[in-house]
Amino acid sequence: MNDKEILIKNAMQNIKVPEDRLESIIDDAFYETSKPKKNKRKKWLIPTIAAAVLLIGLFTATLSASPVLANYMAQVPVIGNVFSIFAEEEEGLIQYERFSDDVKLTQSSNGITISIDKAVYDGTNVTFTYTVTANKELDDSAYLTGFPQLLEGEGPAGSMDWKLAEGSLIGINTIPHLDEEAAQVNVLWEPKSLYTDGGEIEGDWKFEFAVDQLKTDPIILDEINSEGGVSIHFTEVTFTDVAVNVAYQQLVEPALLEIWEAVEVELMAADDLGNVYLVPYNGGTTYAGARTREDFSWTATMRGLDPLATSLTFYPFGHVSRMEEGKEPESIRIEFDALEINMLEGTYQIIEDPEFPVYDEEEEEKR
Amino acid sequence: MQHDEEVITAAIEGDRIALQQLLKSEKERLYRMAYTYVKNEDDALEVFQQTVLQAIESVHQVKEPYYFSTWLVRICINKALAFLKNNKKLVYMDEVEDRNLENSTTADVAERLDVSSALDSLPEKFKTALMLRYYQDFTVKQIAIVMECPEGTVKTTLHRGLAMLKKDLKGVYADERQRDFN
Repeated sequence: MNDKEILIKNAMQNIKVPEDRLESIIDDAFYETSKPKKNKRKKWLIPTIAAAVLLIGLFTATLSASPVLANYMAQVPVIGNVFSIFAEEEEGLIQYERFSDDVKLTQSSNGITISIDKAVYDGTNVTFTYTVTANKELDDSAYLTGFPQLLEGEGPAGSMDWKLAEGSLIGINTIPHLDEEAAQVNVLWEPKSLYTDGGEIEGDWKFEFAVDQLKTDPIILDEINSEGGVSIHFTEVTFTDVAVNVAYQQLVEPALLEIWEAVEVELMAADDLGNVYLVPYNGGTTYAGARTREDFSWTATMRGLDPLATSLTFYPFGHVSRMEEGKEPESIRIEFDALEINMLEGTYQIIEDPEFPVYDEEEEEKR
Repeated sequence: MQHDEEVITAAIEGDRIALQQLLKSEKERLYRMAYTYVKNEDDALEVFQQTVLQAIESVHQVKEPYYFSTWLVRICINKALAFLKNNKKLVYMDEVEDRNLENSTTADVAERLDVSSALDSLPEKFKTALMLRYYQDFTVKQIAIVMECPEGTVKTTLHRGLAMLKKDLKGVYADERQRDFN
């Protein structure tokens, strides 16, 4: 979940819900429709009941970071296991548990204790886990507001994912930052509040910590595949202990944009054992010297590579689309030649007109 | 929202208590969706009521239990859009763009911070796609079904919607894609 998702969720959550009236409408609807059918349904009168009031918690902030607190948090069963818990539902996270470093920073404010658990930086993404506990069990509406950022970055960016585990809130934050040269990056996170449907508790938490980069050995690529006025330029792929990161550019012919509006080039991958992987992108940026507004540099990260695989093939595809008001949106799919990486030798080759692998539909639905 | 498949199947097969239970668990999401279109409580309740009635009348038409939530949200959106049209409250694209242009020069920081205002200023299809993805947590495939368009179009609509949102909220947060469509 990224910052915009959270903003949208917040905006929606801020709409007050007249729960009692909604309950009445549903109950009345079932009552009315259980009666013998009338020729004409009457327009209902909405009952006027006071709207539910969102309680905002206002407390005095008390910040503490003591050994007693650390000991208390150490007894919370989910601490230290956040990656493992998420790994039950999401492939490829178990390696993060193994290769991440302990952070173990704990702060408490207004009865809410936040603990940063583990962190890892693989040259493309900083990923860290946290746990939130309160005086009482949290429900599944709970989440933290306030986006983390890197001191080396340019403002908040990235994604946040969270869930409830044994009455505590646990989460994984990911911040993209492509820089193989950086031996270390510094995370700054000041959560603003703990939101729940029952109220929002503001607090005074501030975390700053450094994360060392895993040893990486990028394979420099320089391969351009073109199709239908769009080119993909593979620039680099890195196999780390936790993930596979790939960097590429999409380059668009200016003439194409006289007809079409938007271009998105994405990847999927398959290994030599027949496993198929999604390769979601972390985000893209425009770059100096770009010829068109649709020229972007992307990074994408793939998790859960089978450790027995010896080669990995990336299958690039794209969508070219346009949306004109008053007309049906249109889009066409483009498929490019594939790029096979020999992981043992660190070499690569183009596979022309490949047959695209099919990703397991059930797995895709879970995304 | 994930529901017990057995409960949905029972509802489709005519179990009214099962359907009542499902609608109650979806009521907040449906109401909030309705509210984002009509902008006031009374009208949102009206749309919600119409959605519930439609759901009761046509639940037997749901073919796949998995798509129950998708089907329900689609009813809600259609009811909201019909309500706006019938009450002539629909804002057309040209007006939105004009308003955006004005806003981009006069809006102060506080206004820009208001993501709900930014969402409101988006053309309907972008707003719908963003809410389905980021509030309802629908997959691209589910959104494609609700919006009746190809999945590739959904992706582009989402990305462009985010970019427009970013433009409205310029300076408030960084968009990792840093995309500018102008």
